[in-house]
Parts: sequence; C-alpha cells; structure tokens
Amino acid sequence: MSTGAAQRTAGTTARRAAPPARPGRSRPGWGRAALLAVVALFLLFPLYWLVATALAPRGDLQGSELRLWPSTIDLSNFSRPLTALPFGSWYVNSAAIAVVAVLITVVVNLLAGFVLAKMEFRGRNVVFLVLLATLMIPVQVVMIPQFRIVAELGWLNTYWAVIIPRAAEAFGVFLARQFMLSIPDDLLDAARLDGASAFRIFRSVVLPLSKPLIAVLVIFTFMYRWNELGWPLIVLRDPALYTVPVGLAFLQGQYTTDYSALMSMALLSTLPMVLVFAVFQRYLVEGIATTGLK
Amino acid sequence: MSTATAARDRTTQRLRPAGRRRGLRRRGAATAYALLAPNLVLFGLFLLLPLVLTVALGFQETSGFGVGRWIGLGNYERMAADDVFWRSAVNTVVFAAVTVPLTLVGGLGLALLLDRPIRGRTLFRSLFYLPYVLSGVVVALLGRWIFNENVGVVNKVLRALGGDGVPWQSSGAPAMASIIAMVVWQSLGFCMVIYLAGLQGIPRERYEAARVDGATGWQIVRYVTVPGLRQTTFFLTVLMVIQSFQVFDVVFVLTGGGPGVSTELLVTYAYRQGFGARQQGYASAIGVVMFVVVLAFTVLWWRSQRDTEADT
Amino acid sequence: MALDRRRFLALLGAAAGSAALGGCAGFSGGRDDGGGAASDDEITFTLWAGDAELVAFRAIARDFEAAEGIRVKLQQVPFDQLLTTVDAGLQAGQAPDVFRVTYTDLGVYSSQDALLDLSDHLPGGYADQFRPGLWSAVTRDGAPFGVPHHTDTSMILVRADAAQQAGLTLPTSYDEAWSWEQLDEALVRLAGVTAAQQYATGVNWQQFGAYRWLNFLGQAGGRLLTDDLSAPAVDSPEGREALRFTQSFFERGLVPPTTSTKGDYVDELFIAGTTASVFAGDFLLPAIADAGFDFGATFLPRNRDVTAELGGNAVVATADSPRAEQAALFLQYLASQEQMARFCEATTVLPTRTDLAGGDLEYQVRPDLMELFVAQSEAITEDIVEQTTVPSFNEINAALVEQLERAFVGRVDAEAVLADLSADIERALAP
Repeated sequence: MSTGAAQRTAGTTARRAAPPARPGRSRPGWGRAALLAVVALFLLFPLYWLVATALAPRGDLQGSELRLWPSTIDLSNFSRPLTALPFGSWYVNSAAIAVVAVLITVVVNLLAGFVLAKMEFRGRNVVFLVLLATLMIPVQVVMIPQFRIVAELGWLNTYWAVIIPRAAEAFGVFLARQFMLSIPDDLLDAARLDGASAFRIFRSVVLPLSKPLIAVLVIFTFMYRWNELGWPLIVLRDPALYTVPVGLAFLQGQYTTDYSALMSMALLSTLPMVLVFAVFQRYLVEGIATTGLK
Repeated sequence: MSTATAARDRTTQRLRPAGRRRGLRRRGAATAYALLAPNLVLFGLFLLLPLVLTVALGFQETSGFGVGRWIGLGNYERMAADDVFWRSAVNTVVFAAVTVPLTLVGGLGLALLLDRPIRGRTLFRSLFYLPYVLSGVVVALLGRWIFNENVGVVNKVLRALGGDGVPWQSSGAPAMASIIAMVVWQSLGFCMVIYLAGLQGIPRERYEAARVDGATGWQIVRYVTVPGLRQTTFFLTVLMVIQSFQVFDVVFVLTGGGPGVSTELLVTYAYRQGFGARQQGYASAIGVVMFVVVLAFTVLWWRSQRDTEADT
Repeated sequence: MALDRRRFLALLGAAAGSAALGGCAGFSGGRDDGGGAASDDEITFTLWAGDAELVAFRAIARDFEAAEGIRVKLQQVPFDQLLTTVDAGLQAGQAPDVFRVTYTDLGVYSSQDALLDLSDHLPGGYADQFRPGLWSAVTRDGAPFGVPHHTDTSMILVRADAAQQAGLTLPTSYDEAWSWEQLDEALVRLAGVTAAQQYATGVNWQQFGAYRWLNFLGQAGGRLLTDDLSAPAVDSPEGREALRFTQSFFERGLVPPTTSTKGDYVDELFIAGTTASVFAGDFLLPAIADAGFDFGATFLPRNRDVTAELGGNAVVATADSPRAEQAALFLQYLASQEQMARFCEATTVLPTRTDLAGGDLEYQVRPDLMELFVAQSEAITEDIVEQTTVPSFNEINAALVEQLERAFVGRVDAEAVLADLSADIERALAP
C-alpha cells in the first residue's frame, strides 16, 4: 500500500485492481447471487419495515397477528405528528445547521490536513497525536463542561453553539491528512518556486486535487450534524430553533408506542440524508480509497 | 491514531532517501501554526479544556448545580466498590467483543460479495450503506419496534413458525442481542465501503501469482485478500472499538440499560449518573476511566500490530 | 470524473442560501439569550407538556400578557429532558425564570438554594388558599419555593368489554374499594378472558413513576421513611408483604413482563389493547378516551390502609432570575382560581386550591370518571406528601427504580431487595 500511495496521483482515479477472478469459476456463480439475495433480504428488511410501518394504517401492522405488508396506504400517520409539532421549521433549522456546519468543518479539516501532511515544524507529531486522541473522549461525559464554555461565550440558543464546538472533528482531520500525504511533493515544490505562499499553494494546488476527499468529508459531516441529538437539545432552548432529531425525541415522548407516527417521522427525518448520500455516493468508495484509509 | 503514526513512518521512509528538502518543509513554524490556528482553538476550547475540566470534576463530589467539593480519589474508590459500574464495564467489553468482529467479518463479506461484477452491484452497495446514514435515534426506534416482545415482527414471525416469542425486552441476554443486532446492522455498510476501498489497493499481480500457484478461491481470500487488507482491518478495529465504547443513542432509546442493568454500558451509566442522579463528579470519573481504557487499548493494539509487521 | 467544482459550489451555495433564508434567526441569536428575555417585560417558562396542556398553558400565557403586559416565552422540552435542561441552565447561570417541576423533584432544587424564596412576593395569608398537604410540598423550613399548580393521582381503569366477560362489577364508592384479595381475584379473572400476548393489567411504576409502588406499601400499612423522615423504614414485614404481592404480578403473568420499573409505559399498552386494565393517572384520560373503546374506573385497593400517590406539578421561579417580581406574578396568576380551574378542566387534573376542591369543575373529558378521581385524591395523605417530598426524594426514587427492577425482572428475593433499598435510602438521606 505504501508504494500505491506514492505512485498515485491524487485527484485521478486510483488504479483499480482488476477483479480477482477465481480459478475454476469463469462466470459469476449462482451460489454468489443466491447468497447476495439472502443477505439482502435480511439487511434490507428493517428498511422495508420502516417504510411499511410509516405507510400502513395504524393498527394494521401493530395487531397481534402477523402481517407483512400494509393493507392500504394511509398517510394520516404523517399528518398526525405534522399537525401536532412544527416539523417543517425544524427541517429548515436542521438544514441551516448542517449546511453551515459542513462548510466550516470541511474547510477547517482541509487546512489542518494540509498543514499536518505537508509542512514540517516543531511539534507537528505531538499536535497530530493529541488531535487524534480526542477521538476517544466520551462525548456524553464532557457535555457539561462544554455547555459551560458555550454559555460563557454567550452562544446559547444560537446555531453557533451547535456548529462551532463540533467543528473540532478529529476524524475529518485524520482523513484529510491521510489523503494529502499522497499528493506528490513535486507539485508543491513547483508552486513554491514560483513564489506562492503556503495558503496560496493550499488553495490553488491542493484543493483542486482534493475533490474525492471533499466529497467524503461532506457526507460524513452532514451525516453527523444532521443526526445529532443530545447536544442541540441542551444548547438550543427555544423550541423554534429545534432540529429534526430533537423533534423525533419529542415525538417519542408523546407517541411512545404509536409506531406508525414514529416511523413516518423517522422516515421523513432520513430523507435529506439519503439525498445527500445519493448525490455524493459515487465519490464515496473512490474518496475513501484515495484517503489512504485502506 | 496509531494508523496515523504508521502512515507518518511510511512517509518519512519514503522521503528521506531522496535526501532533499521537499514540499513546504522549509516554511517557518509560524506559518504552519497560523494555518492550524482555527483547529487549535477549536480543539483546545471545545475538547481539551472540557477534558481537563472533566478530569478535575472526577476528583470532586457534586450534587448538581452547586460547587463541587474536593474528595481526592473518593469517586474512584466508590467505583471500585460499585457493582453496577463493574456490570456496565463487563457489558461494554462483551458488547465490543461481539460487535466489532461481527461488523468486520460481515463488512468484509459484503465487500467481497460486491467487489466483483454482479447484477445490481452499485444499487446493493448503496442500499447496504444506507443504514449507516440513519441517526441513532431512528435505528433505536426501529429496533424497539422490530424487537417489541408483544407485537414486534420478529416475535410474530417466530410464533407463526410455531416457536415461542423471544423475551427481547424482559430478559437480559436477548435484550443485549437486540442492541448488538441493530448496531451491527447500522455499521456493516460503513465497514463494507472501507473494505471495498481497501480491496482496490491490493495489487493485481498477487492474485495472478496465487492463481498460477493453483490456489482455490478460499485460499486466495485467506492468503492474499486478508493479509492485503491488514491496514484496513487495523484501522477499522480501532475505529469500531472507539465507537462501541461511545454508542449511546441506540442503547439509551432501545433498552435504556434494562432490563435490570443487563444492557447498561459505561457511557449510559455515566450519563445516568451525571444527568439523572446529578452525580457529575462520579460520572466524570467514569468518563475518565473510559478515556484511559480506550487510549490504552489503541496504543497496545498499535504496538502489537507493529510487532507482527516487524516479524513478517 | 470527480465532482465538478462548479457544480459542487453551486450545490453548496444553493443549499446555504435556502438554509440561511429560513434559519437566520438561529444565527443571530436575537430571540433571547437562553437564560431569559433581554427585557423586563418578558419571562421564560421552561416546561414539558402534553398536547392539551400546551394549549392550556399557551392560552393562559396570552391572557397573562394581556392582563399584566408581561410576555411569557414558553420553552417546551421533552419530559425526560426537563431536569437536564434546567440543571444545565442553572450551572451556567442561564436558567429560565420559571419552570414546571414535579413535587418530588422540587426538594432537590429548593434545598440547594436554586429556587426563588417567595416569602416576600406573596400576600399575607396566601398559603391558606391551598390544601395544606400540597402547600407543604412546596415549602422548605416554612418558606414557599413555588406554588402548587395541580395534582393528580392514579386509579385502575378497566376495559368495559373485558370487565363484562370476566363478570366484574367495579366498585364506585371508596368504601367498597377492593381489598388486595379482591383485586387479586379480579386480575385473575381478567387474565382468564384475555387472549394470548394479552395481560390482565399494568402498573404505572415506570421510571419517574417508581414511587407509585409506595401505594402498595402504604396499603400494607408500611412506611418508606421513619416518622421523623430521618431514616428508611421500608425494610419491614409490611414492606416485604407489599413487594411479594407486586412481585407475584410478574411471576403469575398478570402484567406484561416488559412493564417493570425500567420497562414500557403501561398507558400505551392499555391503549394498544395489550392489557385489559391499567393503573393510570387522571391526566391520561384524554389520550385514553381517544382510543376508541369503552372503559370504567375503580379505586386503588384498600387493604390495611388507604393511599394514593401525590402526583401533579408545581411551578417555581429560579433564585437568580433578574425578573423575580414578574416571575412571582406569573406563578400567582397560574394558581389563581380562574386560571387553575381552566387548566384543570382542560387537562383532567385536580386543583390544589381549597375553593376549587369538591369536584365542581366542569371537566371536558369523562367527567363521570373525574368525579371518582376527586374522591380518590382524598387518599393523598399528609403522611404520603411528607415522605415523598424530602429534599433527596429524587435520589430515593432513582433507587426505587433500580431495586424494584431487580425484584420484578431479576426475581431477587424481597428481603434482599429491601435491605439494599434501605441502604440506598440511607445514603440518599445522609447530609
């Protein structure tokens, strides 16, 4: 892999190893297709059940006898919670938070990755190791000190309280650094000889080569921010500012076993994430392959 | 973090023989730190400072919103004698020891299944990854619904097949199994994607060489693919262990630690101590222990990895 | 191949633009500073609320603003997040001006000086308007730290169809309330007519409700704490009797196995048809009445003694609120005769004022049953109030959750459980 990393030109497709054809099996066997079918049945059933419950009339799948599909489609599962709680504005809030958080977090991650991969300075390894060690901090436990700090800064009840503290994202820094290690130094040297500043090199040489990385960072960051529950719940005190997961927590408190309503909102809460994934997923495997995670 | 260190070693090995100063290595530390400043401020203010405060809180007795009282190692002594703490610790280790291998092996299996051309490959890759983008709350709610003892679909299917329902909610081991099932289901796709990426890095020549030697399909997986993915596996293990020490939403919403304390994990116990019982000092001490344990695991795991690499 | 840069930027830009349009308020933070309003004529009120409660609170807040010119900002949070939110706010000096709190949680706040002492804010003789037991629940060392807003208590609700099949007649006067023996017989008969995966009843002792188990303790003639409230008294023959009786619900399959103290909330199971009867508070009547089947109510059993738990909530102001005067005014408004009647009628809970007691409120849901609840609430004795409002009760309640869970799920022997519970209570009571 180390040779692979050195040979690779970042930003272009990694050399794709040919599919490891196996001896004695010239065409894809029926066995493999059957296996895939069985695996898919099990792995996709929960997703199906989420959608089926959301669409089925309440009581249809919740009775005591076994039913595996809805008798009819009943959209009142959606209207019940939607009329009781302002999910619409919570959606907008979540989107605003996620988008701004992605912009800030990704830029900050990229900068750190660049510096840690391509600049040599005293303390570099210490900085990197300390940043990585923060991955192991149990978030639930440090929440109270974090809350105090955010309160001191006067950010309570603003989106900044949700966005900024979570921009310290060690996993993203790690991904960025690993990726940038594989960018050939010669490219950077050339720019340096032209008298470009470090930031300029970052902007005009490194960034254009980092698109797969950026796609990966966008997917992960968007996912983390969109799905986060505990922290927004504590720092956002105004219900008008709540996010979708916080809304789901509300719903769970009021519709404890109304699974039709719960699943319908769970489904709605997931759609934007699926959308982002659908847009960026083409770059996911490639992006990860070139980040040197493998 | 050890992966990173390994990567750094590789980089320096790669660059040193050239004997030239490369890249931006001559730039001053000032520029570097200036560019790093946003990160240093963020990490310092929102992770390291809270960590320090947590360590300090761990030496105090608190009862909510008042100022704490210093009690030295009191919280740690209490922990040593606290049955629920030990039970949570055992649960956490069991949870990690089952979840991590299942996720890794399953993820590798999926990656191998979808690495070679097969009808619907791209679609299945996306579908299998999909659970990973669901929030913990959604996964937990879905788990509660599927594994509901009375009207959940799993028990209804079991009963329809003539068996008895499993006490997913009222008995410890099945409750733990339901959590593990949901967490593995959620993370499989992530491992699959990382392994798919890893498979791209195994040079084709190795497969060809193995084929020439007459290796069977299974032998190729065993002696070419798995060793070729060692870095990936190492990285995933560390990441999954960290994750399984921090999995919170799923457990909290799915079982709340019950029945009894049979699915109480360290992180849920610390949370309940800190926020439910208002024992933030004690909760912080538990958090510190978790941090140290995961850090120690990572360092040891990295060393053992380095040693095996040195052997081969 | 890779993401086209222009497309990527366009995408981000579009997303950011639309988000900023809708969500700019959250970035400016202009609404308030979290701890409360910036101005003197606005106070913040943190609460949890069911659908009907929220409507009632909103209407009352609107009228209060019209009457006094002070705006009340409602901050609704999920019930199990209220304490976390308030605690975090108190720690950071960003607490709300007013919050809603259960009587059993009030003590932990008043004992730590987190609440506003209302002594100087209330007119003389104010206390006399409230039922003495409930007033004492909001005082500490004689000083009031909140006003009792409403109370509620549990009864046994039984599906009409199941009762008929089982040949049960529900006692309708407290004198005829079932003894334990009669309750037991009724449950066994209900169990006889329910289908597979259905159960006779469910008891509402989940999580915060764990203290409702004390009803059984009281009915057996036992006490949780000694008379002077300084030590546990639960490890007694009466305690063992009560615990064995309730344990037997699980052993004999009379309640769903999932309804231990950490388990499923039983009102939802009743609504879903899983249980034929349920122990439930009056505040649940609107939700249950919506479920589409007929049901009746009967009293908690009486054995050696009668008891009913102290349910309901107080409203309190925080000690550091810069708008103490306004907050105190709002508390009095909430507890005024007119507003309390309005709230209770809309949400099927019981008033705390003496001039509203006696069941002359016009309840909007099942007034026939509310009459019974009013009678049941007579069994909320001073004794019960005293024991469940000690400052550390919320810690004791947490211990109840853990220990009862062991008894119900772990099937641990009553003697061992009560010994451990005793030790936990002792620790909680220690200064």
